Amino acid sequence: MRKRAMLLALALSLLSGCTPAEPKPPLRAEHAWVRAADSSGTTAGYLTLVNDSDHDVAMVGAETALAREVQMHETLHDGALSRMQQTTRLVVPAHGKLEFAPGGNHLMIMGLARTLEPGTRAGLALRIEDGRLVTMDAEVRR
Amino acid sequence: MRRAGWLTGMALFAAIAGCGGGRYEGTPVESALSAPGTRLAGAPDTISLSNTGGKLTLLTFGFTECPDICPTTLSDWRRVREHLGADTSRVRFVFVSVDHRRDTPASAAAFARQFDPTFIGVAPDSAQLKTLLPYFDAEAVYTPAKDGHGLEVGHTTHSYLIDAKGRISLMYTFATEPEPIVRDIHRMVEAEPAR
Repeated sequence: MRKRAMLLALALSLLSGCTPAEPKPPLRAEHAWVRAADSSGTTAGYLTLVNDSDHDVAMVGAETALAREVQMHETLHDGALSRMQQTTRLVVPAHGKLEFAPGGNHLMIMGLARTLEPGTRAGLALRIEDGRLVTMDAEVRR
Repeated sequence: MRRAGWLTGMALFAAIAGCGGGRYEGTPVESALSAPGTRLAGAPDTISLSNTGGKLTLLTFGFTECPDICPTTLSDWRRVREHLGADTSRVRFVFVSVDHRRDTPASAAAFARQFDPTFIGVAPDSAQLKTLLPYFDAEAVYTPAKDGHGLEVGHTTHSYLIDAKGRISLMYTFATEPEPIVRDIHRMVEAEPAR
């Protein structure tokens, strides 16, 4: 009986070891902002991801309650011709940064649930490959 | 004699400078074609680029589902307009949708108005775009989206300044700061006073 209890305790401790060793994501989002838009529209979110860890970290998606869908996109330039394309994986290098900025990587926010007024805030999150989320409270700007 | 030579040199330099070499900060459009008179439908405005009403026109191409490039350009234009002072009334700002499958005159107009109530949005049909784009040496490409839904629209991202006579005169690359555009508009207005 006692042996079983010890085994259970051991199993529990092992199980708890299976929960993420680092509950806090190894990344932080800086200068997050979203461009103001009508509720009918599509808009974009921008930020800088900073990776202070010793490992590359891959971003695999984005989440928001603001809209029907948010995707990671990159804008590709071919001379004066530009087009954007969805991307499902972007890597933030160890001790490095990844920029989401106008004319480059951006979060494409589609099917807005409400008008985004300048001066308000908008919640966004980026999903890391291991499932954790980097959350941010983005400023809505014109 | 020596002095006369110096004066001649100065006069020559002034004449060359006055001929437009380096007078503007935007890139001169070599062909400088007159914009075609195609009627471009917006809501409520239907405009013609050749019928300028004595105004300059700042023009760009895009589409209303464009989340990054087009809103960035139109936001930059808002800053241009804010800095124009008395010359504000001498410029019309025209967003031309190249997404003839999805955009309508009403959606193009509403998109442009989000950035400034005076901005004009128009949605030419496919035939009109075929006529219009080559005048600007501009392109629009349409490819099915990777996920199988929707369409990816690629387009030339420049802004163009059309003079009061309707000539496509200057070009600015994406993300040009507003200041050089503002200075060029002032110079062009000065060179072509209101009739």
